[in-house]
Amino acid sequence: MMKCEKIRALMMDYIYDELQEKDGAAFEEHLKKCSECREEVESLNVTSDILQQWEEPEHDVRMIVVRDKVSLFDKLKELLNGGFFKPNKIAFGFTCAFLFLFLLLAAGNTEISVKNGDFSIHMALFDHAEQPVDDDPKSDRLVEELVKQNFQLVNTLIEQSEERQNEKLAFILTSFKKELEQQRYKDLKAIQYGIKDMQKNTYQQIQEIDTVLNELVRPVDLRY
Amino acid sequence: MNDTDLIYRIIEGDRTGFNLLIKKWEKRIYNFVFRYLGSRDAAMDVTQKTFLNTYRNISRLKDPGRFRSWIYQIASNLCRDELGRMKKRDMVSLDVIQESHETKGTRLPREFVEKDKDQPDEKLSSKQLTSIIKGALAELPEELRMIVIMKEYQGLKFREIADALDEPVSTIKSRMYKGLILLREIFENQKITREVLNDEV
Repeated sequence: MMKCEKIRALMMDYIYDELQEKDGAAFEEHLKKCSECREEVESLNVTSDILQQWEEPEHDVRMIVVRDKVSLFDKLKELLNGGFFKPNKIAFGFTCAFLFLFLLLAAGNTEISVKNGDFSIHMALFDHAEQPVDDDPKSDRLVEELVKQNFQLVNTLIEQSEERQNEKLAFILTSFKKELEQQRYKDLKAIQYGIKDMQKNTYQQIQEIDTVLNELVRPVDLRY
Repeated sequence: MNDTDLIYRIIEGDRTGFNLLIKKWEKRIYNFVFRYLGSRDAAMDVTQKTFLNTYRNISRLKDPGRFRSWIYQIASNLCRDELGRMKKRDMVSLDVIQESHETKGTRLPREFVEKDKDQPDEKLSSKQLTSIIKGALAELPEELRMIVIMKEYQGLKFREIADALDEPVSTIKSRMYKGLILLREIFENQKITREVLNDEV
């Protein structure tokens, strides 16, 4: 028979159903005969049962999950399918937008006044002080004429400025041309003088060479 | 698909396979962390971190069959870190700690003691019983409490707890035994017996 000491060592395995088959029979055999060990097992089982009374928390657990990279097209598709355009959402959106506009208009046209000690707040969707819009066809025609006149005026202005610019350009061009011609004339003159000088110089040089040659030739003649 | 197949799939590069793993494990890990830390926000935070660490290191898991104890190892380490931080910040909002303070001396919530005196036969509400259990667990030393939670509420095998906490199996078993004996004493002192349990059940 197993000793109490051995039983204590296997106690946890027994209570939590992890006892090996070979030890199971001997363990239970011991419990039948040893009241101390039996009571120990029973009381620990009760403790375990009490612990089990703490129920699982019913909390909503949702961890952030890993997502594969999604293309823009897929995202759009998901948006289209995934309820972004659900009718009730659209309705809600429109209602919100309308309400917002309504409030904005109302707030924009709120008048607070104190007259003779009377405090008054006046709210309106549209400004009452605004002049009524004239829908007269005459005024339409007037506006049209004005637009036409304006158009013509602008056209003539553009034409005038263009003419002025052309004139300026022509003047600049002619003056430039004149300058060029003068410069050319000066240059040609300079070249002419240069050539004349050169002619003179060469003529002198030829004469000099002639005289030198003559002087050289003469002594030679005397010798022979 | 079992965890092992799923893990092989993830290691081979199927990132979205991790979502299945999260779905399978998030509640279990959250419950474990919540029972240990007692605070819902901290439990959410630690659970999220657990999955983040799991995701980062899953390719290093050489034996996917070890996943169960491995994820508890990550969670328990993060739990201990978080508890240390909470204690440092002196966050008394921690349910478990709070209750253990309340029960000091009498070891019972005041309302319960008074009721017990006046009407000893009155049945214990499950809320009161839960609060007593939480208080009793809070009185255990940390290393025993972790093991009791892993065994009682997570149903881990002793060998898995030993693997997760990196201790010999025999140490885990003897600590569990010690933990149960301490809890038995606390419950007996508070007159939570089999009879009360039977009434409750």
